[in-house]
Amino acid sequence: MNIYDLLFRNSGEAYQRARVNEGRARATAPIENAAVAALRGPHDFEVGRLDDGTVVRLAPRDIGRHGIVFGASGAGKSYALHLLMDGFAAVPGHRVELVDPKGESAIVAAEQAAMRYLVLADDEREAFAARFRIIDVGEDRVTPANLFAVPAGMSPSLLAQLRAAATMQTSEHDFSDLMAHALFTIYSVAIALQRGITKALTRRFFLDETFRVQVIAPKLADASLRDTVTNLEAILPLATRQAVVRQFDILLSSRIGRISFGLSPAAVARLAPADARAVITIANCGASPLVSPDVAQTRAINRVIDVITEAMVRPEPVPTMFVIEEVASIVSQRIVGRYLLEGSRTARWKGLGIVACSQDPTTALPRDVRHALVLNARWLLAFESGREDASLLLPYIGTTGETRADTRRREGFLADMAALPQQHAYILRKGLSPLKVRIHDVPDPKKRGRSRAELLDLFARHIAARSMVHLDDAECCIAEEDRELLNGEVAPELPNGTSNAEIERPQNVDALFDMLKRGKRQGGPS
Amino acid sequence: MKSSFVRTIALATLYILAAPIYAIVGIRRVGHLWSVRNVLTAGKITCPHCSAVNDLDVLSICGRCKTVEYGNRLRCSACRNVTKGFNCDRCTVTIWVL
Repeated sequence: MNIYDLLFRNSGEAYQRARVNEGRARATAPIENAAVAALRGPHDFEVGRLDDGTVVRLAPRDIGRHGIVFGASGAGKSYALHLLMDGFAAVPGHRVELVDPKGESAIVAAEQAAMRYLVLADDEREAFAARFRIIDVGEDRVTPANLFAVPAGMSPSLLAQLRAAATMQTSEHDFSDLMAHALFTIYSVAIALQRGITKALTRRFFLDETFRVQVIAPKLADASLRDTVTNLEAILPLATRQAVVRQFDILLSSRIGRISFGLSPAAVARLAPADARAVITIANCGASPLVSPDVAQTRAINRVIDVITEAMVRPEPVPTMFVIEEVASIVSQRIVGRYLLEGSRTARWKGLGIVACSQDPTTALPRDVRHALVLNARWLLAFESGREDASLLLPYIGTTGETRADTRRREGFLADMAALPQQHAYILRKGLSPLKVRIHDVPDPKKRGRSRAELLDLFARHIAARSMVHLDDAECCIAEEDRELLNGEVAPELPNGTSNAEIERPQNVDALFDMLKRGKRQGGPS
Repeated sequence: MKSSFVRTIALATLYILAAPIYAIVGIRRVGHLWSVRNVLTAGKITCPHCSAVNDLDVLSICGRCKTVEYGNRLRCSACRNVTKGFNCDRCTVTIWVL
């Protein structure tokens, strides 16, 4: 034994201290990767790690701008979106809007919210639940849609056009110009009267001239609309009006359909008053046994219209992250697509950042929409994708493709994108090199001993129920308003002229031409 | 007999004469070891050049047997090799500890 053995005899303490020192040094070490350093900022939150273990943190200032998220199904988009939304909403004054036509991201958000709700103290739970506004359909409850309220500063005519476009999405029927005009007219009238659209109203409006001229027209302030309503008989052939009535009959055949379209703005305000504390709005517009895919999609489109409109007309900018899942299904109506693109261009300065999500943007999105979204996006989050979708990132990986080495690098990048494991993604902020990140895990309910069904039930009862109304209450309201408008009169029945027994069948070609000539003279449908 | 006695006396005289010097060296050495012990107990040392505080207990590699281990950077627990100094993490000036 020498003197050094005496001096260094406390090796256990030295070991422990070395572990602590190394951990601290790693945490405070300057970040060598410029992109990782640039993504950090005030209120940043952890989103994942690079292969070398470097923590990637994102500042809300970046993800609050327009972005695109894409990748194969099951690659981890919904979980990543949850992390982004959660991190963004944690900043005071920030808002998050989610429109989910699939329902998957909404369920992830609901599960995570329920898990947090459970660990809160009783006195904190109310304030936590008030942070959410849920747009959903339950067995006995529904969130009423406010389709006919015109935001201050918006043209009622534009709102009617947008609502009509969303309604056209509900049917596989090929809507003619005349039918589109009929839809626009009924929406214009409903907006002008601040009423909901019901089966009785559509029948009386389209099939009863006296009702139109004597009851509806005098209540309309807009002379142009009044003129259209008064002369509707001349503008729209009977067959067109009947076709629109049939479409509404189908649309309003379910309770959810009737409530979605039938409530007036006053009734919505009375049944489900808005809570100013709500900063996270989750619109679960997935199809379910309770709501048909068509009605669900219409609800999604209408919600997108509402969020963009609300952002455009608000006086002061409010940082809002607007996540649209399955954006391809939203922009399939041209006017809605154009409105969304305009929103992405002009609502930016009102604080609206649109995050468009799609599995395969290059094939699902129209070329002009995709081009505009990529052009306006500040950041991209790309999960496992094929060559075409992965090519969206190529302009930003710093290769020109002119040299052989460049080509090899591009091909390597595309191959890597095609083989990205689950929960791995490339994060790209324009102006920085892309980062391959293993996305952070979100808490697993099973590990906390809770089943998904249990959490969703808790979410529905304690959080979602706050913004939903009973179906019976809503239907009572609609029936009351109907009685008031129709003055107790019965809506006319559709002419029963389309049964197979009554269809006149031509016996030969001459008879067919005779039939067509007769039809033309009567002004009927061709 | 006489010469042996004289040699012993001379040696004792030399020891007596050198004793204060050994005592001074010994005291200085003990003082140095005491200060080294304090540094090792604290686990950190300030660089005399740039004033950066350097941790002594880190993930270190032995200069002789190349063992990588968490522990004191001045001594390898595998080969018991002791290094008297190390380079400052910030300015790379050699800091002599032992």
